[in-house]
Amino acid sequence: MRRRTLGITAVSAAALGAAAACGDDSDSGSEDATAPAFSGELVIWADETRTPVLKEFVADFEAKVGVKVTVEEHVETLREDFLAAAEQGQGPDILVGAHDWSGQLAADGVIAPVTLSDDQKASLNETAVKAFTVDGNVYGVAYAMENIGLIRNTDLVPDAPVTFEELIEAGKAAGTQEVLTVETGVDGNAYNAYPLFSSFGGYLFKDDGTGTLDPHDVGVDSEGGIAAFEKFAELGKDGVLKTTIDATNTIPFFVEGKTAIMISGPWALTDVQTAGLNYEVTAIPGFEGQGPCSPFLGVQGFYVSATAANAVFAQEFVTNYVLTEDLQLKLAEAGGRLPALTAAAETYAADNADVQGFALAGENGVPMPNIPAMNAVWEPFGRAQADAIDQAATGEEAATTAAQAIRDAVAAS
Amino acid sequence: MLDQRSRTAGSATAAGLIIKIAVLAVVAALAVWAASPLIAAEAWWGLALEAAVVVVIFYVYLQRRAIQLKYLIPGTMLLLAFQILPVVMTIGTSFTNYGDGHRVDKEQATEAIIAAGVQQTPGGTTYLVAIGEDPAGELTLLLTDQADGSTWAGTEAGLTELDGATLDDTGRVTAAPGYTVWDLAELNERQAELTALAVPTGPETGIKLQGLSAFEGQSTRSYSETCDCITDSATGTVWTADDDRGSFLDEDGKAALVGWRVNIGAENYLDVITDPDIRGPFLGVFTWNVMFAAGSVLFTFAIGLGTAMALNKESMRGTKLYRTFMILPYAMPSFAMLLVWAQMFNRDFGLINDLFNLDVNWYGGTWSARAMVLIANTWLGWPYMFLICLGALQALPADSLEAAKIDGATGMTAFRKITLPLLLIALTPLLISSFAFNFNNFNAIELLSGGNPFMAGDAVGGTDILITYAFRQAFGSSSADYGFASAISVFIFLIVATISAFMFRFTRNQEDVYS
Repeated sequence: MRRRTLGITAVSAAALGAAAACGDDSDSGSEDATAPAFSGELVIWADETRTPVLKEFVADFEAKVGVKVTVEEHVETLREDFLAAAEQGQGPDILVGAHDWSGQLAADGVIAPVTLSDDQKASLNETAVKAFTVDGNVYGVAYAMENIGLIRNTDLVPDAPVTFEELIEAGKAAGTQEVLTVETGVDGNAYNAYPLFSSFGGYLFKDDGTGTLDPHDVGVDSEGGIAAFEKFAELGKDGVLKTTIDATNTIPFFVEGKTAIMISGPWALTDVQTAGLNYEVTAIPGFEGQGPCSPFLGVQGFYVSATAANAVFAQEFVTNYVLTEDLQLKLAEAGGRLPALTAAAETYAADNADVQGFALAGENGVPMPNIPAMNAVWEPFGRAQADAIDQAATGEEAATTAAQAIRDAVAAS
Repeated sequence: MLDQRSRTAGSATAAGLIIKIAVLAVVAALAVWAASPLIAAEAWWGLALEAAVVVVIFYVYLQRRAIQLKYLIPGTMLLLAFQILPVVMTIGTSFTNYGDGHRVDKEQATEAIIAAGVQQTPGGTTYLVAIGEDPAGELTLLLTDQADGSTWAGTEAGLTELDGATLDDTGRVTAAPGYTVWDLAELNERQAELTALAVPTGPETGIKLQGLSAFEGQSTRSYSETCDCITDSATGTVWTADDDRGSFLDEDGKAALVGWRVNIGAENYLDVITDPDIRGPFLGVFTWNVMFAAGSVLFTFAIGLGTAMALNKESMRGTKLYRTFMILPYAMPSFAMLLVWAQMFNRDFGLINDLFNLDVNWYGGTWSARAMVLIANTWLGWPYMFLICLGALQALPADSLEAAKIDGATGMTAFRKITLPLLLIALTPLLISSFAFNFNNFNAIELLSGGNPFMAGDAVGGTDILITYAFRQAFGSSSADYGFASAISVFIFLIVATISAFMFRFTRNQEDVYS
């Protein structure tokens, strides 16, 4: 850890040394050939999928504002790299990342709040703003949203199921090897399990009604939570849910026709389309007599570093440039995700059935909790789910153990 | 580069001298390159250390004496930089609360808490901003009200109406009589000055700059040095700094969002020792860790030695082909192989269960999972043992074996009494290092079983070894706690060091017996 920090410091130091960078000054649109050289530059860190698109788009900002923008790619370890650099006062001006980082990053004091005007807030999807809110302050500006939904092979199952029971029947009737695939794995998967869990009225942390979650009110073993885990155990016994369905076979089984129904996100569609399957994306149906399934909404956005060397331009980029329809549309097209800007989302979804399907599935969605306490949920919840499915524990046992583990972890932190 | 440096030490030839000068020049250049960021960061101790290192290097190589030092210095420097320094830093970290929520220093934490208290005045005006200097040369915000297009000049004294300003098509001020308006290049150059500028609009409100826009807002939080506390005037909360815990605490003892890094003494060590959640599983993890390391060494050595002896037989045909195949597991990247193995152990769709018609839930049971990691790790490790055993076998003196044969020793007895003891003398240090490597074989566990099986609520999995357990504490899906993980690392270091010291002593005794 320390060694990596030192490495980054050295690299950043080198970058600073070499940063006698120039940008062309075309202030207020004038084509000024004798533009003064800029001494600073705006540095953005993004992951491997966003970097290429951003690189293309910052050129426009460069031309408009005149500051040189560098997008650096950080594969896999973007959040860790950013934390390590920012706590030393180094690192980028802007970070592109998921909304559920905001709680941790804000508590670590490495990102700065941004203030959005009422108009700007209104132009964004309401959930997308809420997702980046920590302790009443907005810490990031959203550009894309995603959630999981039901992907169905329409040749095998022509009609969209209305209840989860119907879904299971349809999956069995399709005569495929598996009834359905949903990525679970030996450790379970809280992200994919949450929609089913929520259908029974289970909750993770109590929402006070305004979107603020109370980390000390854990609802994994609430009445609805226990019912959901009992259902996991039942479905595990029937072979509908399996811990042997994991990241390596969830999508391949669907593509190979070994299952007619898959619960997954927009990232699965590339493979499905390549295989030339007829499919439809719809909402995950709730259980009979229970509420609808609410998948987690994941929101991607731009953060301003608390130690940004170029704070003025970083804020300008994040608050004004990110909220343009053009940028949001392009980012959406590159990533296949719904833009967070309502106007862009409407344009993008207009003739895209897949996007509409996922948007429909996300209608009941809740933003993935961004409070640091959420870190304590993933593992115990996932393992409890795996235990219930594998019949290693009854649903009630699994739910109460997980809830206790989460409470202990929250209390200890 | 370093090799050259030591080889040319004391060289009298012209070529040697030139190389020496070149290498020292590179050292000097590197030193200057490394010094500038240190100076920029005002890291004077680091700078002093760097200077000392350079002085030592120049002193040693620019004189005729100190031949030994010339050979020792490069290795010693690298040892200090890459072995000793990380250990010292790990130990240093283990006495702090460094981790999520406590990453930055107190000043940054205070700033972050205060920044979180800046709120836009409800219904307050928003502005487009240009920046410049007023006739008196004072820093001024040139504001355009986004609602009605009126223009204002904001200074330390407050807002005044600005007449006769020229606007561009977005509405931003580009020129105003008597004012110098900065262009963006100048703004970029001098943005540091802006942070000090506060433009008040009322007793508690002010203009808050955000990018090239601004809004009217108020900062409700302020830090006071006298009480070492932060007061929020809107809610009346007072957070008092607790320098022992690295947090600002309110009256109820609830910590503010951001904390800072402090020294917490031996608390992490006490946690490791006293926490029943850690103490309980610790012994189990430790036992399994020893079993895993010993088992890996034993199995890889047994299979490696067996195959080596088979291939060492003169009557054996096609040895080259066999050897090529046997090297394969070693030649392939273990990362990829471990992931392939992990997939092969899938209960429903894995190769192992399919091939042997089993229905073993490999990841589900403690012992099946342990068998799984040992099988895979043996497969990955035995080619190494095969290689070194083959080499050692070929170096064995033939006369001892012949003498044994004349004395009537059968194959098994000769192996037990002659071959194995002779081999062990040569191989024991390698076996010990293999043990130490497997004791901390993070990849084999993390990529294969991920520590599974876990029951809900377990902090430790059935196949977790100390290093994967420590890793999960520090970087796992729970919040990172580097201080605590460092304390565990120190414990692991002590354990491995003790075992190694004990084993080396044991080897030395063995050598006394055989020689």
